[in-house]
Amino acid sequence: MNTPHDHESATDVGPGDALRRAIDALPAERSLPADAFAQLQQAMTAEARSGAAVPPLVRSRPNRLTVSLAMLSVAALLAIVLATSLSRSRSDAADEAVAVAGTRTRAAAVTDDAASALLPEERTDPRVRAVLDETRNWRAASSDSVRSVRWPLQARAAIEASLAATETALASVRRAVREDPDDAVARDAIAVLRAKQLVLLQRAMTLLDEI
Amino acid sequence: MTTSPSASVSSPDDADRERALVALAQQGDDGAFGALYRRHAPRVFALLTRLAGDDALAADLLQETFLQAWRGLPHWRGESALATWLHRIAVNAHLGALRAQRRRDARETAEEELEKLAGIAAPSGEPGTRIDLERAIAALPPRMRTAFVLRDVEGYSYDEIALITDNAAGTIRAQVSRARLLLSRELER
Repeated sequence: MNTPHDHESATDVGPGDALRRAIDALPAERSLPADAFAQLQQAMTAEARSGAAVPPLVRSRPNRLTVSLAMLSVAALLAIVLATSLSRSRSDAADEAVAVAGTRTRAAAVTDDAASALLPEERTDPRVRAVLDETRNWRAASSDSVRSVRWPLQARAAIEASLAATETALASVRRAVREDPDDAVARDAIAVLRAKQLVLLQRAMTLLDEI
Repeated sequence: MTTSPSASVSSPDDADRERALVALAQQGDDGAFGALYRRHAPRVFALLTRLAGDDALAADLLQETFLQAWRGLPHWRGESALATWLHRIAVNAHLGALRAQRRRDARETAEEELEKLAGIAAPSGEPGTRIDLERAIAALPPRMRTAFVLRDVEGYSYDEIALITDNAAGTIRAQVSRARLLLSRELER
């Protein structure tokens, strides 16, 4: 592999004396980041626990960068959907809520408290139940130190921020529905937001399972 | 500094010790794997820092490299030196990240990066002082930096670089030539 004096040398004038000397003076080694080995051990432990039955090299595991990008792109997608849905709801309150949510760097927890604010028809909607169940699964998985050891903090924060933004937006749209039960646009917005929230959670869980 | 990756093993005794560590690590001995990590990681990290041009990214790639090595070690047959194998994993990890970056970051232009390069001055400010070559390499555009590091620092042939980066050899030659020119100019500042 390392064949600096191969046949190409005849036609390759090389880097020049000064640059060559500077290259030769480059250190061959670099000090490692202080926690590099500890992080590697954590990752190895997590993988050993989660993938004991899966032969090494067979699984396709996205690296931290890939996961981070995927998470951020999902979060960005949701943010776009939120903005679109809410503009259709014509609710000033919702717009304000999204603006506030968008400035938050760390999301408020989405808990079963959300269920207490549900509209009557939402309480019996299986899609809402699925979202709440998936939210609980996500919380349990993402707070599991072993399972989420390689989960990039930035990606987790992006997901949490999107979930919180969705909940805030939903609360605002629900207010609009309570004020005007015939507001069909607001009701549609709720359905769209719930569907997108479910997609986000399912993708997050899938990616979390893959790393 | 064109060096063989196998330079991490400096003597026959050392080679025997490494073989023993590899055998233990292949049996799942994490202590042996840790010893191999401490032996090889500083060199791999230097390579990745130079290729990536960014310490944080290099640290991520270092972890990815050794995770892949840990997964693959039970199946590794030792047909090359361990350092060579790790070197190849590291280069592949970098190229994977580079491709991903290229897909998501189509806005990168050589001109922007070269402006960054032009902004690098000798640390002491005296004309003719040796520049911080590491910083100047880091400021090269990613693909040019990869070609230069693999060719002039790591000693790959143009054909090898063309093959692993999925580029034409002529393109690699042009990138290396351009990098040499830019870096030499910096040396003369």
